[in-house]
Amino acid sequence: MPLGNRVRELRAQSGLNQQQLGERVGASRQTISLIERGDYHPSVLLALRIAQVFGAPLEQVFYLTGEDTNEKA
Amino acid sequence: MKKHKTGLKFILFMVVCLALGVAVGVALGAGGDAVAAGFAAAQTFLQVNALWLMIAAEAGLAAWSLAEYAAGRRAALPALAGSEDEELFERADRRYGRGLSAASLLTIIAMVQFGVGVSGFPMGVDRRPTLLVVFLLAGVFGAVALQALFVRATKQLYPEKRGEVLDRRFQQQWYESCDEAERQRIGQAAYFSMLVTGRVMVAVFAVLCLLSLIAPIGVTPILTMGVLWLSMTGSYLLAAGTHKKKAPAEPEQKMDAAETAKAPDES
Repeated sequence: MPLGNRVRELRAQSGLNQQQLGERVGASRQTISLIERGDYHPSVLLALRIAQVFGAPLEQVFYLTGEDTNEKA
Repeated sequence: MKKHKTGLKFILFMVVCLALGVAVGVALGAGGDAVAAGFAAAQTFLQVNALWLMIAAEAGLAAWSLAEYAAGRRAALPALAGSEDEELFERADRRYGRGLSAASLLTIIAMVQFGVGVSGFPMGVDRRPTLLVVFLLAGVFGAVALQALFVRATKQLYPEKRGEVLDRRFQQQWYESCDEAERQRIGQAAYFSMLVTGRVMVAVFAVLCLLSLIAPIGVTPILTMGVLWLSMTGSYLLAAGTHKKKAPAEPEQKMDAAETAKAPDES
């Protein structure tokens, strides 16, 4: 999985549940859950909105892990 | 090298299909009368028993749908009470999805059985077509009621969802209330459905062509398949062309008519 995130951790620190975070960024609770589990990679726009809610730079919320899959192509 | 292998595989596939076609053709030539008689017997059986088959299918599918609703509701109640247990949400989603599929299946099967039934007994000659109409309406209204039930239940789980089942613009409203991940899933499901339907159409088309060699099925089934195939391919190409010209829509933006997909199934 090339994209990691700290959404669950930052959400807990902010005292928000998935539904509340979803409402703030315009996504469903289910999508927040998928993002936290690494099963869905959000668009740049959604990632920026999430980072904005936490008041953190994007790269502190989302980060690359392991190899860049583009190198294989 | 890869191109060469792919070409060989394609030629091999065509040869296998040709051999199969020849084998089926020869078999039909040898036992054509028996196959035609079997086909006629099956057709008569379906026409004569369409009403009972329709009632049984409707009752079975409605019961299955309601059972899934009850199971989904049991899982949803703690989730609605504030639980963050993802498994509960997923279980409720899964159950509602199955129940909604059963309700959709109910409409399709009722309509197909109605068509098969009335094709054997013209109105005025027998009272079965009237009964078929009654049970068709019961099935369709029942399916709509079930769908409304599932949509309401899904809205309780996902309050951001919009749309009323009885509204003509329901699918569009539902789609507009989906976020980017849900829209992606709808797109993937629609694409998968298009691929599967395309293959099924080729298979059904081949079967109809073979059947027409031994039984008087007429041109209507083949023309119907042609219209369906053309409309599917045409609408796909049209939608693909439209989307090439613009950036992907944001969830807040208005959905194009071409994007209208069956949304509640995806929840």
